[in-house]
Amino acid sequence: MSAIGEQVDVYRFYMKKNHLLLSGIVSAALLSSCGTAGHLSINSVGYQSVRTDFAFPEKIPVDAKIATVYSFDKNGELTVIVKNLTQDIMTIDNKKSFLIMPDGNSISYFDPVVTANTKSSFSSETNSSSFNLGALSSALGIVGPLGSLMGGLTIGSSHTEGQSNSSTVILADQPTVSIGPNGAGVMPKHYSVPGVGVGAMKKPDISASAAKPSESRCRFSVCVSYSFDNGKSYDKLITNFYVNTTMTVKVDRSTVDDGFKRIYAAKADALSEPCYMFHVATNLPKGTDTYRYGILVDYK
Amino acid sequence: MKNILFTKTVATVVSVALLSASCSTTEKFCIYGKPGTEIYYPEVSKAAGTIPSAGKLQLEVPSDDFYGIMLARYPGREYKVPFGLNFKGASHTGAKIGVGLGYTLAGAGMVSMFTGLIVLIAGSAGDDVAVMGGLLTAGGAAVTGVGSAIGIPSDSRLDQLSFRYNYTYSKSQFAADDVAQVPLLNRDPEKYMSEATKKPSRRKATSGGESVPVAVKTSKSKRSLNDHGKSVAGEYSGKGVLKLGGTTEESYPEIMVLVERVDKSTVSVRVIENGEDFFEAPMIYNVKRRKDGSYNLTMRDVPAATIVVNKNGTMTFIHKSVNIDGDIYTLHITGKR
Repeated sequence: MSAIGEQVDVYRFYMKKNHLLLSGIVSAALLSSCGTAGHLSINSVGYQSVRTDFAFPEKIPVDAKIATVYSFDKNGELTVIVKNLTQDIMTIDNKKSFLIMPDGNSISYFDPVVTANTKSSFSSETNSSSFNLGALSSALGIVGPLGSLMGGLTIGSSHTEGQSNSSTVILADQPTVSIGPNGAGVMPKHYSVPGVGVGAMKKPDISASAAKPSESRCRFSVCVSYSFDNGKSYDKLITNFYVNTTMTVKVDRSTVDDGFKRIYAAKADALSEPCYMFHVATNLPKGTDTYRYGILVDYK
Repeated sequence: MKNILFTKTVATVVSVALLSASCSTTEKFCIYGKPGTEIYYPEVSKAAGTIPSAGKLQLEVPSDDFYGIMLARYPGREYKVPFGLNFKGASHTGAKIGVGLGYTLAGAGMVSMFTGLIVLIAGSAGDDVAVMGGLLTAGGAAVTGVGSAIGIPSDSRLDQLSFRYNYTYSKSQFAADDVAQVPLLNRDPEKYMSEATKKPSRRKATSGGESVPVAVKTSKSKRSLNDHGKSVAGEYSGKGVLKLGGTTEESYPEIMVLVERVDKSTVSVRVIENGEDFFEAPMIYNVKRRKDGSYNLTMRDVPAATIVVNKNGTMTFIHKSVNIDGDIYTLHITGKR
């Protein structure tokens, strides 16, 4: 019995030590929990709309030969989709196709120095003969709200419930590429446009709205050179864009919803813009802080 | 023994509580709004839920993610309205205590376990030392297990976004008001207009400083025996220049003058540059035939505007009173039908 008593005493000794340790740890943990490292900070809510210099077309004419669809990601990266609306083979000359930046500089869609940035593939069914915007959306794998296309490159993800198709063509990063009859393809490079995206929404400003393209702080263009005679002669589709509105409202983490209300109050037609995005500026490394809606369309 | 029992009970309760807290990997909040309103996550086409008749929808989102924006679609609306979610600070003390407590327990348990092992090895089979060593080893292993069970999940949770950045969602969120989709206030021109209007920034010129259509100030001649209006009607293509005080302000390599018959001695004249009407309104000219077979076109109220159409179909258009933004320019066009 005395031996068992000694064992119990030893065990009690260890338990007392554990008690002490336990108390120390709890105190340490409590103290550490008072630390301020890494706190969520929300600075502003931003809104931006981008337009072409013509009204969003309700319908693409039946005699149009080429249609282009444009979308921007949160960083202002422009994705250009080209649709061949004819039964002929279309040749795209990437050397003669450009993005003309807001500062006037132009970047060719074939530039061996610039690394191709084809993040993902998405799809197109290429059998639509009669054409309207709905058909275009459908043909390019854009289903549901047009907002699903935003960033286009997410179409293949589960975010859109796998509703995209699987026969996508991303045009090769070659000087010239071809698109088959009624086919579509994505231009091989995705360039960021300065002045578009979350980078332009840092400075609080509730009144930055342009009534006309000429009043915009940010204008840029895309030129797509295409041919239907195997490259003997080229035509151009030039689309001019302008940032219609950029608004940034200062908020903190407890008044994010108020930032949205102030934007709606300042721009009543915010939701009618063909292509816009909202952004909640945080200090987080990831998360859903941006909502992008819509596309822009041109044709010739 | 009471002490041991008490310690065990406390340890069990704390462990269960911390384990429970540590295993939760979601954040919960309620969205209040009009019943029937569908709530969406951005870029997810399927609704996260529909606000029930009670007007309150509870949602759970991953702790390792951040949703600053959600969308509301009101009953009967086709579009979604983005709205912001609010946040508040959260120290997540429970998980931090769990990490400290768990790892310390595990450490202490391991010390006990290894000490017990040494005692166990040092003793002989069946003697008291060996029994004590066995008890220490078993107790240490148990404490290590409990400590790990508390510490590892808590540590894992502390690595999640909302824990690293000490935030949580405000428990009550409010779906955006039913924002109406107001038609665009500044709508751009239709595409076919845009193609025809390559220089939209230039304001339309007026002729002779008049902004009202000239037609109302003309009087038709009834004395013409020939249909001069028909003779000069047509499209004249050529080039032109716009001058201000003798200085060329603009050159037009391709410009067109459209002459349309009004009656035998009166025509309407439009100037088209780059697909766009140069003047605000068509100008009305009187037509007279010269002896040499050419035609002289004049504007009744603007003597500085004259057009000469020769027999061979060439035209010389001169207008010395073109009003653009208050300045008076001279437009000179030569063309051929």
